[in-house]
Amino acid sequence: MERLAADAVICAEGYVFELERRGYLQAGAFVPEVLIDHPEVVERLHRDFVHAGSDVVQACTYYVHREKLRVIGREKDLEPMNLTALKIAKKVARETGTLFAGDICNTNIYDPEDKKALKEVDRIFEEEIGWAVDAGVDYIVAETFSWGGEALAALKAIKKHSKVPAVVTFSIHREDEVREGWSSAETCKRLEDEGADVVGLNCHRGPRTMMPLLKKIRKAVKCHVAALPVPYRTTPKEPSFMSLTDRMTPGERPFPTGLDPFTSTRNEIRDFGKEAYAMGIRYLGVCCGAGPHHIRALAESIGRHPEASDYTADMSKHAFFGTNKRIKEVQRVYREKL
Amino acid sequence: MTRKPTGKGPGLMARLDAGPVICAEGYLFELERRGYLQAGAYVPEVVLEHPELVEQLHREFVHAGSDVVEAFTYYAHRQKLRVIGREKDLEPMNRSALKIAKKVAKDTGTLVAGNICNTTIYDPADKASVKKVRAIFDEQIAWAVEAGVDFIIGETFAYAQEALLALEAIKSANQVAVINMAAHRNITREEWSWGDAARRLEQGGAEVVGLNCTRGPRTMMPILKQVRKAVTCHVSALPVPYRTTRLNPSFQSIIDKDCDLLPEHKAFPIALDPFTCNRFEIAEFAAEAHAMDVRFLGVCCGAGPHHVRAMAEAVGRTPPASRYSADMSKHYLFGKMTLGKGKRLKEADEAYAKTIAPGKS
Repeated sequence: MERLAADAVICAEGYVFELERRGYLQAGAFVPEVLIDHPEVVERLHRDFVHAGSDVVQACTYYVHREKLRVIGREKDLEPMNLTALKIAKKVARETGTLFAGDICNTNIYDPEDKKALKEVDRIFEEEIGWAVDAGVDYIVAETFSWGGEALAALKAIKKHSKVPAVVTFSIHREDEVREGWSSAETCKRLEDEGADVVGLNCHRGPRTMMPLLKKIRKAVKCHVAALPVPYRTTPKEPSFMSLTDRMTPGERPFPTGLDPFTSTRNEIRDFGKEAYAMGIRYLGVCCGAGPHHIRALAESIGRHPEASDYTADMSKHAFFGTNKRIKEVQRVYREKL
Repeated sequence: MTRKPTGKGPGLMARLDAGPVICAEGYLFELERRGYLQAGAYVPEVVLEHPELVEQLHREFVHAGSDVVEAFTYYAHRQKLRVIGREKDLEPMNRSALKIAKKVAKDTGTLVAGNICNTTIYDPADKASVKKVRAIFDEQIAWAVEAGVDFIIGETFAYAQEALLALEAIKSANQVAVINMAAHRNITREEWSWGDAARRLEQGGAEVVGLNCTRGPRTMMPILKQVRKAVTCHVSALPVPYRTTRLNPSFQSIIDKDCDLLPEHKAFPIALDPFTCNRFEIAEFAAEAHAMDVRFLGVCCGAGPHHVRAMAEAVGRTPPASRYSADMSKHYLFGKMTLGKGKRLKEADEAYAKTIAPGKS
């Protein structure tokens, strides 16, 4: 909260997609089994994101919950997977002087009409929050809810089972509404009223289609607002990454493994960061699809100079396009032909 | 001359005679993406500053199906180091890159390759430059040979004559040579056809000749066909994973009207993301090239491990990373919709999935 009051907090997300891209996590289930199989790869990615400007090391416990582990038949690995994720994140956070965040998320079984399901959702949140508190997290992120009620249940669980701040972000698909039909601004207001420290949106929408919703949210609440879009070129017609179409992908639906040709450039992320910050949005990140280059652009957009900025592009030294005096004249002529 | 490979198993030529060899490239772009290498100069300073990052990427590419660990010495040559004012680091940079690559190759039973590349100073009209280029090649090759590489890749040449000079240098060191040229245009810089250039390289003793970098799968394929027809030796193809077109056939010529990073809406090199090929396009390219009997296959600048895995799987491999290849039957919304196998996915979500997927809501 002090960091948010003073300036802004950059929080890299997108672990699941980036680890999938690196070949260590299966698309579909999207459970980070990599925690058990290759913990060093997770630690590396945390470090890459901090190096690129993330102020937060968010434990890679997205989808490490009981329901998901049942789907993949690894329920017995639930606790070790959570503890490992928290341990790795804490190690990197403490070594780099960044914040250490726990993470709970959409359970996929929430159903307001089903009391048994609601009880199971509470149990899922309670056990994961318990492990996060034991690990000593600085705060807890609850994310990617499509039900406003599930986001509220997550918030309630954080308040009940921990003393740390709650950042609650949810996801908007094609229409500006959660599954109950509440608008994103209304949902944020309800979360603020119930005591969330930071409220906002993550995932599903790219910068262009998340921005209009953020403007309404920023007006609707007084607390800090979070914005963590996916780095994809979503459009008013196809506003979420799940609704994008591409004729060069089998089935024409690029979500989730054919999204590459929709990836936002670093300058689009930079522009988004600038605009969001100017609106008073202080909790900024990038979700599924984020690479360290996006995180650096976001950090630089609010005036930061993370370690990775030492390697920010300098085209004066390019072999063909450079202006450096050692670049030969013959190359300058040739580049026009390129 | 027979050479004993570094890792377990056969050497390059035996592997090629038996079937395809996958060679991941694109180290520069991927490490730039990860925030440890500067775009522009594109010198692999990371080899000295963060060697663990280079080792990690080698391992990721092998995990994804690369049969080759290519030493990250691309642009670690005297001319480039002069541009960035680090000429004194030339030898340690080369030796460190070779050492890391060799270690990973040995651990994983893959081949280790040395790498030399376009010097950016080659000028056929300037004899002094030709001499300098040869000296650049010779010193890098000597370090590679000392490190015990299995073969040497000479790559990204726009001048066929510079490629021939690289071949000559590799052959004077008695090494197996893979020579790849970068087809910025429909002809080489000295205005030979690519088929003609490939033929001269084969006649010069190259074991493998072909194309790398600059072109995406779609625009490399027609030139690859010319090369395949022109030679009888093994052929290589390592496109960049970008959606290049007939109008903009190279990644340097891609225009993006939504991009204001560089003059004239140029996307190259740091705003190419929205032109990236997905894994399905890479798989298609690999299958087509393989069917043409192009056996040395890889992906160049822009490649991620997911592209390399798609390529390996397209030629019938199941690298360790295939354990994590997509299975959408387990997706919480689209599981049932796509494959009908996700047993635990809730009925209620099936109707909801339809409202968020492409199409009318």
